[in-house]
Amino acid sequence: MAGNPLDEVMEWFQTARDAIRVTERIVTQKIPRAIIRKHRFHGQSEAACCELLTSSLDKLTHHVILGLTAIFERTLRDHLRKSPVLMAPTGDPHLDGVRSEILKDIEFWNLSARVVELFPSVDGNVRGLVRQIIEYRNWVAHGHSLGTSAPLKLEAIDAHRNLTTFLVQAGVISP
Amino acid sequence: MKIQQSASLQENGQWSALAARKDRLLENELDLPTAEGTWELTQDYYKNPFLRLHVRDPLHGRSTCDFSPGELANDTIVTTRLHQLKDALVRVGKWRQELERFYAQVRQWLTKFPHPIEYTEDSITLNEVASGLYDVPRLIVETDGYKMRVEPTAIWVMGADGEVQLKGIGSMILRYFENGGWYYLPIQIPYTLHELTEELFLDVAEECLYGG
Amino acid sequence: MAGNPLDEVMDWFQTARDTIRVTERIVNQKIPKAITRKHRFHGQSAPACQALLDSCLDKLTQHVILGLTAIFERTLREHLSKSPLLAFPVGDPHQDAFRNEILKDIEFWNLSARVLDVFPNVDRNVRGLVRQIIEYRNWVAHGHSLGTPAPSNLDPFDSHRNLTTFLVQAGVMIP
Repeated sequence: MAGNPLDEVMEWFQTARDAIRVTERIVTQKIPRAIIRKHRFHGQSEAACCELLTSSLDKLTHHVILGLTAIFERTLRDHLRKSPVLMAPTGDPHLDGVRSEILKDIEFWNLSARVVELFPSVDGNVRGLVRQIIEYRNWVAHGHSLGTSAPLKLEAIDAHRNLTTFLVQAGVISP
Repeated sequence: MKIQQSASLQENGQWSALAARKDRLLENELDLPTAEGTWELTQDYYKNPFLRLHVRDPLHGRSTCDFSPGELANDTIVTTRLHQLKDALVRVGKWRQELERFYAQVRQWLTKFPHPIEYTEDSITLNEVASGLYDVPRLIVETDGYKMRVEPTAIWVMGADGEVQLKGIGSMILRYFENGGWYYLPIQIPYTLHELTEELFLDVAEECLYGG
Repeated sequence: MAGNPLDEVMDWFQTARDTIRVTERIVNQKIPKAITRKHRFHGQSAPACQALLDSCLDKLTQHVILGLTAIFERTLREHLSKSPLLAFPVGDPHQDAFRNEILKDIEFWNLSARVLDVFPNVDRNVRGLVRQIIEYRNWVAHGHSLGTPAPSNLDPFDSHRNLTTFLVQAGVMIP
């Protein structure tokens, strides 16, 4: 069983977050020599810079959740593709052909409606939370640019935690 | 319950009649004698028109609910939505009360800060799927030339019963649990909630005000 | 559709990238009072900080392309769901149920293999470039954590340009 593929996302997210916070500190504390002409903060008012940085942090959070969900989805589908239910390739053209079609099909199984349901060892509440995260991902991809509200408030850390819990309970990764 | 229509809606006879036909159902299902309802005609990103119902109640505050013409024609849908609206309104009311309690606590804790503090309280409007638009108080703290907002961000939060963020240099997340009180959630793995004590709040507030 | 839904991603990417650059400058020029003990760069050597920031920028770039692709995909599917081929909901239970089944089906159409090809007015080369971006997105979601090389060297600006060109040629977006 593998380590958690989601951890790496949180690692770089924290670095990116801290870079934003460092820049905010520079702007508000007016620390000299840090911001130069090639930076988009140069020549902007403190209020304008802070607005840019706040907005950047919000969008970063959205995209990290999008990334966490993409990696989670991929991890689950790959786990299914390696399932003992499907025999390893045999060299027989007919059996391998059928196997190949099934593998292609797995790519189309709806994540929320079908894939998530294939893991009954995962607590029902956790499956529900994961569906909410997927719904949030869909909102990031489309809804939010239309000015619609997010289905629920969540942070990257919430997504990481609940997606990880799913992967552990599903037996895809070790705790 | 008093129900009215916005001026722009009244100018549109067809939509106005559509809204008016639901007033009796609205009154019966919401059953909030002190509340006021206002129908408004508005449109979405694709310029499709829809009706928005604003409900204001002195005890709970405000919530809204949107209806397309198809939805408004279906009494089952309207009834379900009105029940959801009422539940949301009650939840908003409880949250507003909790926020006032929390702000009183924050002011108490901040007396420990070395410099004089100025407080301002204003109102912000949030929009959540469960409640539509609603208004909540926000606390603004200014000290020693630095500013921090104690700002509610959501009621419907994953795994919690409400969220406030301290917004200054960066933002710090505080989560509320009806059966547990207030906690600080640092953005780091593993996920760990820290009970919000006075000491922890002052540490987090300082980081937010001065950037660490 | 007015406005490019992909523009917003590039806007925040540039801001986030500049915060990394600002932080790099602080580390390398040893600008005082900018980094405090609350930041993960605190107490780290300049090379260690630079390594963190380099890695962060790489991951940010990858996730921006992932985000651009998610928004591109969502935009195309939304466009198809609003096609004049599908009449508006009429309030008739049978017709509306039928319409809903078609909409659900559209969600399952493979992006690369099917959705792209229902826009024949898009130049074939552009469709090819978009398929490369999708392949890269799949690698970000999975392949890169296995240490496999990226299928192609992609840049967020090129990706934005090519995805935008597709949307314009497809008539989904006004140039």
